Amino acid sequence: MYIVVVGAGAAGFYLASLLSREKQDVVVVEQDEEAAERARRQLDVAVVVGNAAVPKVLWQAEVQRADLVVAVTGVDETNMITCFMAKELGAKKTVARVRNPEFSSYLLVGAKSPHGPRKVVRPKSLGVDLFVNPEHEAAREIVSILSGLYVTSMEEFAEGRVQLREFKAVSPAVVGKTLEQIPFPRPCVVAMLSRGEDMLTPSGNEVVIHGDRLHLLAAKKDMDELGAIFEVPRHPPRRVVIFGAGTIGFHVAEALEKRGVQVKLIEKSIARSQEISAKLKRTVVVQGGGPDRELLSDEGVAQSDAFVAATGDESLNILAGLVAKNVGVSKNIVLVDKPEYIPLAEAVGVDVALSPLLLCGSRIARYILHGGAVSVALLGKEDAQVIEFIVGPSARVSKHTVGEIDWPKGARVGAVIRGDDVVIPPDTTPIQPGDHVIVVSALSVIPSVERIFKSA
Amino acid sequence: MLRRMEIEKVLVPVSGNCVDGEVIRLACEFAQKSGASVCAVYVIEVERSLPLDASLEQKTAEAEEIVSRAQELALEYGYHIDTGLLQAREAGPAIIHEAVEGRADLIVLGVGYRRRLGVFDMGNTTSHVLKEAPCHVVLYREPAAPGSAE
Repeated sequence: MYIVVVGAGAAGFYLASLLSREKQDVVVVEQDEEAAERARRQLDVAVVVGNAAVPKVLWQAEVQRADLVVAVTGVDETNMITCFMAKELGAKKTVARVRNPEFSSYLLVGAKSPHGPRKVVRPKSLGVDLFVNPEHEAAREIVSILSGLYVTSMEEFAEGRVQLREFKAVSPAVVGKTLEQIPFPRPCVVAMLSRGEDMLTPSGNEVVIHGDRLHLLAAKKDMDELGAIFEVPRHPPRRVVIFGAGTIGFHVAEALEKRGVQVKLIEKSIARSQEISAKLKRTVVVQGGGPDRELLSDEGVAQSDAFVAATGDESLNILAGLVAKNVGVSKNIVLVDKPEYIPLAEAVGVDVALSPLLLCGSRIARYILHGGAVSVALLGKEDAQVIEFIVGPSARVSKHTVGEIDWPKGARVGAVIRGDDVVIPPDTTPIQPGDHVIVVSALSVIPSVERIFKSA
Repeated sequence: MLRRMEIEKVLVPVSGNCVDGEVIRLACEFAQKSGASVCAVYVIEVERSLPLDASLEQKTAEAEEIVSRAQELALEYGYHIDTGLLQAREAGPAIIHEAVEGRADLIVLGVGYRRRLGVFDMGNTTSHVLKEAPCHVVLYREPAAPGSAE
């Protein structure tokens, strides 16, 4: 694919890096000379220096032949204008990062008659195929994590029949054992093993050490039982303390209070505290400063089921998460800007570290998809993907068993979904047209995996 | 007979169920023969307890996905189609309204094989469209599951 990434800030740089490692043909457009030079030096991409809102610059980046234009500058309006123009010039698909939800909302146009149908004017018809809002993605992910029995990152495949969950190895049932020795109560595949900053594609004789994170792929119905060997299942949180009432903190509080969770929101700014307090009906908003022990103890963090640190300062979030843990909260979730901080934060005692940037990248990756794929999730920092394919009648994999197929090194099958059944390999049944196949693959071999699912 | 018809606009109501793929394929085939344009439309039905202009973000997002899928399916058949979303009390009258306003020459719609009280039931939307459409209507019904037909 030919992809133009507009903006080489943190989000643009990350996306360009991800896409270029996937062997996509990437051009970065950046106005700032310094940021452009950094992209040119560190990434395997072409760079055009200039303002993307100027048609000449977009033309220079050859958006007219682009399969995808991703506009992720820091300015919503620039991103939208870029997408409108790119579409007009001939780009096939456009994605804009837009923080202000009013830009991406639907508009109802009345009919001639009061009872007549209303036409829904969609942002898509204005030239933007997909709006991505990193803050919303992060808030959605936090709420999804807090809704399960285990406070762990989770992705779903095959219409929710298969889950990918990350568990930390601390229990004696798994630590010090090889993967083959672990008494998994239900069929599952360890898709990836994160150890510190490294991501390993584990074999059966890999010994699990304390603090490793195992990415487990299994049928949704089996996941709760599987999770029990890693940690004690808990009821979904009833009391949550959120530190930071920015966009993410606010959206998480809003979603949780709708689910009947008791939410306490701690915010430094008096004005923001008052604003949020007026908007949220059942959330207690507390105006408070830094994350000191006294403040968190006074606000009942120890009695809470989960603590979410969601300020705009990643260092403060990590610190707040650690103080909350020290005070006695059972689970903490913190937000970090840089994806590379995730393993570091998790290594020092954070239960779940999330990067809105990574979630945003994951959302775009899901949108781009891969030949015939229906769902995509990024694993770890960004080294691997879990991809769901639907097998076509003439696909090369059709009528072959998983073992008969010559998978590229770094790729393997995690699950096959046939009708309502989830089959975890090893499986000797031939893959049938219509089956959903979930593949765990290193980024570099994704094009080879795609070829396997294409028509013979 | 359809070959001899002058078709310029084809309207395809989609509903996100299994017959969508087949009706999109049929619509593209008809349209290709006469160079007509195709528009896939989804009607978001608003329950009576809410105002007709209610903001239904979740339903609209789902509808968006359904019409996007229809557009992608059409692209697989080499046809670029337009898509639209409507918000109405009932799908049937909204489809007719759209067909009249958009001057559609043909409506292609699909229906699943459903039985109610022991007899085949095509549903209110399909019967309304068949009764009220000012243009040609092609109806596709999915095959009945073995043993389900009389």
